[in-house]
Amino acid sequence: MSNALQMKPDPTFYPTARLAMEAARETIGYVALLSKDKTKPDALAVIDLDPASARFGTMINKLVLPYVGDELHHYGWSACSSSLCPTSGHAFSERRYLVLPGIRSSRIYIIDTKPDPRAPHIAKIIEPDEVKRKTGYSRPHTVHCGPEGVYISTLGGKGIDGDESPAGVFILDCDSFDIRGQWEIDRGDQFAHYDFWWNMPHDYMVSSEWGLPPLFENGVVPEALMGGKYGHKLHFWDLRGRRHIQSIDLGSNHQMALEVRPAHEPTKDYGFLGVVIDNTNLEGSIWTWWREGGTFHAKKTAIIPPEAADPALLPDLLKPFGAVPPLITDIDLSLDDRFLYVACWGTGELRQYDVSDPFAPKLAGSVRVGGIAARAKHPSGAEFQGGPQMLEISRDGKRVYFTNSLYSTWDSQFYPADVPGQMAMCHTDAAGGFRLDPDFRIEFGASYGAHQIRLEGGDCSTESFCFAST
Amino acid sequence: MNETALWLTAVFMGIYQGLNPPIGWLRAAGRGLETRSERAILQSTGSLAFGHFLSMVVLLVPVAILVAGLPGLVIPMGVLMRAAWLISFGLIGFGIYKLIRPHHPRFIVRIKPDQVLRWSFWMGLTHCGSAVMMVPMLINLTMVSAMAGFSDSATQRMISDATLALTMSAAMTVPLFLTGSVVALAVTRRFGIGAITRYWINLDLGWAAMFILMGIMGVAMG
Repeated sequence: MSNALQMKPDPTFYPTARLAMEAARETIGYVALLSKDKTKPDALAVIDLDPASARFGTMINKLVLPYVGDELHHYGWSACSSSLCPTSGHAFSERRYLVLPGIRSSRIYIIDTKPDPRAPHIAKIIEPDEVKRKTGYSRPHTVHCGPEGVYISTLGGKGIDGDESPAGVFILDCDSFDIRGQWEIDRGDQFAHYDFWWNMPHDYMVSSEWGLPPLFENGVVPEALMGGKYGHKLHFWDLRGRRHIQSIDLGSNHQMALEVRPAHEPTKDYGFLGVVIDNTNLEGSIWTWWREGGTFHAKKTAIIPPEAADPALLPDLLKPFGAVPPLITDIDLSLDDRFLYVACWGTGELRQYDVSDPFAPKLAGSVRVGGIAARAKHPSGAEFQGGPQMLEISRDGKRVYFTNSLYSTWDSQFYPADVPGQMAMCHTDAAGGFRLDPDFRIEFGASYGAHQIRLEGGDCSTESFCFAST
Repeated sequence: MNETALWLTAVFMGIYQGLNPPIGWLRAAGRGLETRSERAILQSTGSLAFGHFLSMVVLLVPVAILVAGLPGLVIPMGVLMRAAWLISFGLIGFGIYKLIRPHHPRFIVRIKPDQVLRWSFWMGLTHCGSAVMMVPMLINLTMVSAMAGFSDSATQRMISDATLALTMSAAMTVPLFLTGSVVALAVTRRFGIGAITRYWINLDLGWAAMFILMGIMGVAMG
């Protein structure tokens, strides 16, 4: 990869969370688009987010990938505040490449956003065979750049179904994008995987579990869900030592422990976790985990109840329950660690919790759009299929963007009428509370679903920091 | 090249590294902002400088002893000169490599963030290469002193050469400590950590050039 000699650190290197919040606002966003019926290649959409632009709030470009069936999902930058830190060893890298995995194909695209961030192009493709051969993993998911390069979590291990060996994290060189191999030296009792993040100065990683590929690739498996077979553990790791330290079992009724969001301020030793569903009562839950006395702890700090609904409005999967579970499929924490946004993809609600006291989240705001039974319209008057799902908060905390697709096969189970990709935006109030912008709504066409959003110069789910703000 | 210029070069290299955020002061400023304690800052800059000092001593003192000659192992002057000359070429090559690939060795990022001394030691020994840069100088200086004091006993020569190695290490790391401490205190008290994004330039490139320069000097002296 070309990496010109840089004389100054990348302007989007933020030593602290506060400096990241004070930096210039984003003018571009990227959205992963997936062909829902896998007949067309997936694409990366470029969104104009410059309020001074005539094309603000529209898709200005679309990079169409060369293959079919990748299923784009999550992705991330090759360099961000965590790896541009002067002590990292690659302080003069650039925030330039997006590492874009296909969760179904296990193919990885390296997308170059220079020279023109509005016209990104493919710089390198790592073929699925190479990923599987060099890592023993498949189905790449979360991407974070960090001390040792680019860390990528995976949902599958070896074998056709990816369930013959554990899923885990592997490392990609942040300059050459060569695969360096498995990250774990000792994985303890960890087998399934989903999300991960860390506190770099305190040197630990946190990871979560969704389920092995047979539990999600062809859709949710109701018997497995009711039988408690999906992931329900948090894992804590020695980050530089690459060793498993501790796992916390949340109880097998807490099915699908997904997004982990550590506090951005490195002096704070806590974070959050969203659990999709409790199989005994359909509740979604928010958990707070923390470190105290050298060990980790976790407790449930917020619950979101299911909402009763006319079975006629429900897909087959939910008819027997006569209720819609909230389905907490994403959570995102503002850079000042004050507001936690919680996507309830089932009920079509986006909640804002004030987490100034991380052990007592207080509901501060809520917007409703879409939903399995509620089917709330967007304030523009347009239909909004699906519900708030993949979230991204601007660094300054003033805007919350979201898209509406979860995962192709799950979309068709929960929203059988189809979930054409859309993106929406909310404005937040400094004191708490937020609202949908009636003028901001982007449609990506009937054949594309929309998943993760990334913002120019970094966002709340990419940046982690080496230094304390105070 | 006269001896004073050589010592000044060592001092300059110390100041330069003291200014370089990761080598000289950044961890200390980070600690300072977290703890609001000047003592913690100086402990950190002290650890950074002492780790660097040790990384020089472990290479330079054995080299000095070898040059002075051990009982039964006296290296002929011609071989020493040839070695200094080869190392100088190595420095030039390493400098060019660092210009092309300026990254730290990978194992260093696995050192835990609170192990500042260990980190600084391995950085000094590998990425910074402060000790290896001084090897040709040390060999040349010890040969000069050997010619001046040819009547000294082997033990006297060994002690004076080892002292020279220690002084050389201190000549670089004391200025490193002082500069790093001043910058860390200034950043903590006045400028804030955001200063690194404004004022920090790529000092690694200059350091790569320093390898080349020291190599050329070594070749010229040989």
